[in-house]
Amino acid sequence: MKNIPVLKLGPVLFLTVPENMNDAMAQSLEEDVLFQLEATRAEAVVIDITSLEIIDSFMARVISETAQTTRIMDARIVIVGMSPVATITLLELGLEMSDIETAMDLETGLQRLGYHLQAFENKTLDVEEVS
Amino acid sequence: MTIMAEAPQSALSNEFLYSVFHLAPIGIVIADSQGVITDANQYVCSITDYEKAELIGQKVEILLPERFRGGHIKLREDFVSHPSNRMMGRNRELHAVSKLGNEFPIEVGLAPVQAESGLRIIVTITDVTLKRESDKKLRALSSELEEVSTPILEVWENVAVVPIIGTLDTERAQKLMENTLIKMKEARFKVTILDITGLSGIDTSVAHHLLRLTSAIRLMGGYSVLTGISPEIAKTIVRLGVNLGELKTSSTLSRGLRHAIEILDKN
Amino acid sequence: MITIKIIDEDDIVYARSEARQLAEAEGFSLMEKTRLATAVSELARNIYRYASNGEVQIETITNDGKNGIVCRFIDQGPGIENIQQVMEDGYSSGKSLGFGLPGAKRLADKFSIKSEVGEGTHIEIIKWK
Repeated sequence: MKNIPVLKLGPVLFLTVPENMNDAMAQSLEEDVLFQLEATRAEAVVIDITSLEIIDSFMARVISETAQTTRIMDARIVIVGMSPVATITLLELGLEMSDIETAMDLETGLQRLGYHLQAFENKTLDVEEVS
Repeated sequence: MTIMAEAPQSALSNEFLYSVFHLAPIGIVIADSQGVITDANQYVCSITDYEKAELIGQKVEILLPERFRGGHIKLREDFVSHPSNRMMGRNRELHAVSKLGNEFPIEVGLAPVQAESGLRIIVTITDVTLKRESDKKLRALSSELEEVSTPILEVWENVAVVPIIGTLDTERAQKLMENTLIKMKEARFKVTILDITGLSGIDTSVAHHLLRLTSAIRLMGGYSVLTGISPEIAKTIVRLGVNLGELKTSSTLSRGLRHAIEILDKN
Repeated sequence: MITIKIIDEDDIVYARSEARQLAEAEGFSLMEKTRLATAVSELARNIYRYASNGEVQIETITNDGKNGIVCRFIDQGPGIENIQQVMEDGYSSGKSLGFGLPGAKRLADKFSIKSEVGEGTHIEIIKWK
């Protein structure tokens, strides 16, 4: 079973959700995030759902629960890349998702978490793939 | 149970009645139960470029573009087995073809009649080219009006104002939501100010649409401010028991802008 | 007509992907395509979760000049005892968010449901272009 790759940039974990994510992968999403949070002592998580065109109630619940458990583990989490169509569909499904923090893009998402992306001259960015 | 007209015994002379048929300002074709044209009036001839003699004895399908002929035969046979008065072309696009091969849109009516010589179908045909064109223009104008009536204006960096004017029915609210979210994503608005100064009235459903819109904006990671609230509307909101939650509201656009800038500073 | 048997989880993705592709081929707008695919996802998931035996049928239909897509969700599952109750928002059977039926109904243009306890459930949705 293919896991979703988790990247680490400083104290922040990044996950990009693939387009046709199936239920099994979605389920392991939450587990992967929590495992990596603990293993890396990361402070925050960014989940990029730009590729997700269809968000049904199952996916919404996975995102919601992942957000809740992340917060319980005292880390911040932001969901990035909600599309207009997905937003409207979610609301029509009756899912307000008021408990999650969202941002339109990566930069805004990081700002929301309290981080700034800085380019360092003569230094490389420290990106680690942790899973 | 079909009700068929019987050709009446009229006091009007046959010659006059035939003139009525022949000169009527609408195309009339008479066909038998096999679909063979037994008569056609002047209007039909003028819009199809056929002489009457060229049409009589032909199947009605001669007036249809070739690609529709096969399907039409079946429809015709179904009709003959269950004849009724019918107007066609309301919801679908029907087309006829002239002798020279020009296609044009038509509206068709059917009425079966029991004549002495057997079942006859009265077919009325109108060329609706002009009507379709003006319908198209009307639709274009109406969608242009929609665009213009809910502009989304960037007034500050990352701040947009959406003046909502007139009525907000379900269809308009839907369109508004789609446009706002798409624009928001394109231009990266952080705060959207919804100004309802021009809103003609607020009831439960309008309130619901507005709140739905603010939820959508929030779900996409933005913030909204509701401005242009008159004392009347403020009273109605409270009376309706609408829960605004965390939504910032104000009576004027300028105060709303101040809220927007505060939100930007905080985030 | 496309028929998809719902046997494992991947079939849910398959069903919604087929629905989306058909909507795309028929020229549906992005918004309507997404609504249809999401509704299919919800209803196919129900079959997977609650019924042992089920399938999704997807095909185009025409009615009086209108073009659309109809999706049928047929299962031989336990059936729904109180249809009215599950069609109300906020109803939840345990962990999940209920059957997601009211949501699916809102996403579709036309929604009909037939269910017999012990026999199965038949749901049909239509989305017009």
